[in-house]
Amino acid sequence: MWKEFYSAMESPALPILAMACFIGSFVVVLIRNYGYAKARDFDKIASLPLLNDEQPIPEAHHE
Amino acid sequence: MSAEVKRIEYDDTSVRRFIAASVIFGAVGMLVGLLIACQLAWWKLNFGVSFLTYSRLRPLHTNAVIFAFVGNMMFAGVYYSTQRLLKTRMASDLLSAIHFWGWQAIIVAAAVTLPLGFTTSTEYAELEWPIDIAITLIWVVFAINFFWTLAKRNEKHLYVAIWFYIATIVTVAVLHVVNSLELPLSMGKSYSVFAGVQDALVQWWYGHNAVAFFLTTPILGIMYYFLPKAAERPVYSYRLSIVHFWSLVFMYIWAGPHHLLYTALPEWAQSLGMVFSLMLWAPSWGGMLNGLLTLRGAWQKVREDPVLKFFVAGVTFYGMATFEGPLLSIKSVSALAHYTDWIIAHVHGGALGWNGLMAAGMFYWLVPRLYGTTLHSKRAADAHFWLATIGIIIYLIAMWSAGINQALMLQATNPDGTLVYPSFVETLIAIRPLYIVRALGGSMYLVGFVLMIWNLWKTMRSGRPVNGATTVVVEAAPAEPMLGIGAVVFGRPLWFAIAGFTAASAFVVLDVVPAVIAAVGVMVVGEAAFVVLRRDAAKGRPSWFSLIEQRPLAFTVLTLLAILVGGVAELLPTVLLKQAVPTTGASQKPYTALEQQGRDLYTREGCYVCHSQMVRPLVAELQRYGEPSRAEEFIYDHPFQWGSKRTGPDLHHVGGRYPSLWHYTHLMDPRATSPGSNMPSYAWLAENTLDVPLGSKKLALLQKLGVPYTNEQIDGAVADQKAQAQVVVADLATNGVTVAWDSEMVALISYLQRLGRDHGIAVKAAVAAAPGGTP
Repeated sequence: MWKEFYSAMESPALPILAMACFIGSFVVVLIRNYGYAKARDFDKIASLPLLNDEQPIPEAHHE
Repeated sequence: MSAEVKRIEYDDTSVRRFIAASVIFGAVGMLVGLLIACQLAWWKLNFGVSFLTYSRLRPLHTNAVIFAFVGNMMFAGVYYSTQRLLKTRMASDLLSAIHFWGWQAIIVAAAVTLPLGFTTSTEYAELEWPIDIAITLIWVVFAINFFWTLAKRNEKHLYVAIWFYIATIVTVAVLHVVNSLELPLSMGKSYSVFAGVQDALVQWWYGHNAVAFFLTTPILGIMYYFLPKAAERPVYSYRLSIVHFWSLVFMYIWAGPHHLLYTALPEWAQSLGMVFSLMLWAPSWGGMLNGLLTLRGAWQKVREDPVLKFFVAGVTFYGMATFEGPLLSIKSVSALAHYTDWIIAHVHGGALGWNGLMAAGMFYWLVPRLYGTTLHSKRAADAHFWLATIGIIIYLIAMWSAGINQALMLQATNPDGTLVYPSFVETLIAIRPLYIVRALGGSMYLVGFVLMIWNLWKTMRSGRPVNGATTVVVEAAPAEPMLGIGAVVFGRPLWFAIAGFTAASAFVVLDVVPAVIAAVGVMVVGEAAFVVLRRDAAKGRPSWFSLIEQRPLAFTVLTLLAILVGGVAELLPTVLLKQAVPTTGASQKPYTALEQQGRDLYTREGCYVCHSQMVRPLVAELQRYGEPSRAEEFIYDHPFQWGSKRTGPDLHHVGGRYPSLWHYTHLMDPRATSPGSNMPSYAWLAENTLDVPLGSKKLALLQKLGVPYTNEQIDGAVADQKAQAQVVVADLATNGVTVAWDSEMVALISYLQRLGRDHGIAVKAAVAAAPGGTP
């Protein structure tokens, strides 16, 4: 169905519109991403790998 | 509220074991890779020995690097980071040990069976059914241990690395089980339940996502944990990592059909694969930039620290490979690049660059800590870095040049439409110097890897094994009650997502006017979701993120849904397609017993590694190979043999093109018929005796899979094989070649003579070729 629809269409408006929708969605996600209100919560989770209070124990400890 | 202070000692023994296994098997896998690279340049390095032949060793190389080297490296990273991110020891030491030893047993089984020719011939899933079952069991052990650890964690938040591990475990399980659906004939032989187009789609759905969910998502998890550790600063944008995760796992699963562009796969599936591959650019580069920007303000450390050098180069190669992948998925680019060494360059950019360098960075960071010491030699690590980086660049330049050169030569046509280079071997000879350069680049990479092993060994010897330990405060009851699973399932975010996705799907399948209504529906749902969720947030109701972030079960279910959508949408219609493919006509006759036996030899020897059976509708291919291949020609092919690389010409229409003597001579000494060829000799086929009685068992099993053999054909398989074989034997005898009728050589020639032709024609042609024979 779409094949016939597109082949009958002389103007490239729809593909350009589709591309604009894709880029628009991408930009919205980016803006949303950087403008998110809960930045502090995320910062806390992002620091999880850096919480380092390890005290290495020799493996022989178990033996 | 009471609280308990708990001391936790991590299980780092498993991490040390997996690292040791990874470097040992990595070296073996790369050594085999170097050998087969040299075999392409110098055919004599096949040594005339069946189990050292290129076509049998190439699957060993790919399996060793993917599942033994990267697999063990991934498990080391997962075990180390999961325990620390969840502040708990792995749930069961016994399960960890079973996982480790079971995985190594699988690798050893693969290393033995693949060179011996026990193979399903489906790329990256060549292992036969007993090993497939073992993989499933060991993966389940890993999954139980991992999810059990999640359940007993002492950290309520699930860091994004854990998300990537969950996606890996769930998706690999789904991919492996579906792609391994096969009926066993014996301990070492089975037939895929899928055939032809369905098998091709399932295989590349698996193959592409093995790259995505075995070589990419777990390593991204490792990147999100180890890169901040090494850089001593949090990831650049945690929010971006969330977008990265969900978009990547959702989109990746759709991209498999880009391996089958211009084939007999339905066009809609090809287009879907291409479009999703292009969309993958965005999340992949989002992830890459997130990794690199983590080093903001700390780039001076990269100059000093070999660990960061490897990580930065690894992430950069990830960006390069994920740029090149979508590029290669564009149909017009694929027309040039597919079946050539450009694809080999792309794969190695990912494997050597992304996986290999990330592994090295992780090992250099981990081993000193696991042995309570410092790295033995920073200079040696730096030398490794430069050897690896320069080695990869040499490799890639050689393979890009070889691929593009050969493709242009193969597609070159004269003004009158004839081929400029009609001989395939001519194009192969032209790129042979580049094969030598590739081997040089690979050698440099391997030397660097061996240097790393020495450095790590010296580091280990200078310290002794230590286990990480930490202290955690465990609250008797959580400060905030966890949201129930009901809150997730009936939460508004999920329902908005389902409504939006349904409307978007409807847009694709509906007629023009309803489709436009559906498109408006997507916008309305999106707007409503934005307004409602914003209002909910203002009222303090849980957000989408908080609904799932601390709920491993809900998270796993949603991840499963995200990956199943693409799989079901692509696989289901093509499985149903079987009913739509016409099953009448000359090309739909099942193989005779002897041809099927020959076909099984074709898969055993790994002929698909170098020869495709898929003529694409491109001018040069029509000139070179004849009519384009059609879906209905493969309906009885269990498994499909379309191949993915042409080191030799396509064979789909080779039947009847040459006399049987030509095939015999070619298989005994390829250079006798094709001067300049780098194909190994398969002389043992003339010596080996075919298991003739097995022919009837094969037909009976294929009958169960839907191939329309009659009971008479099954019962008379032995006599039929002899009758058909003697036609070939008589033909060869008239040319002075004596070969037993029940030799493997005769069965393989019978199969090759059948390719692309009706059985009756093949037999008539063979008879006609014999002096005194009548057409």
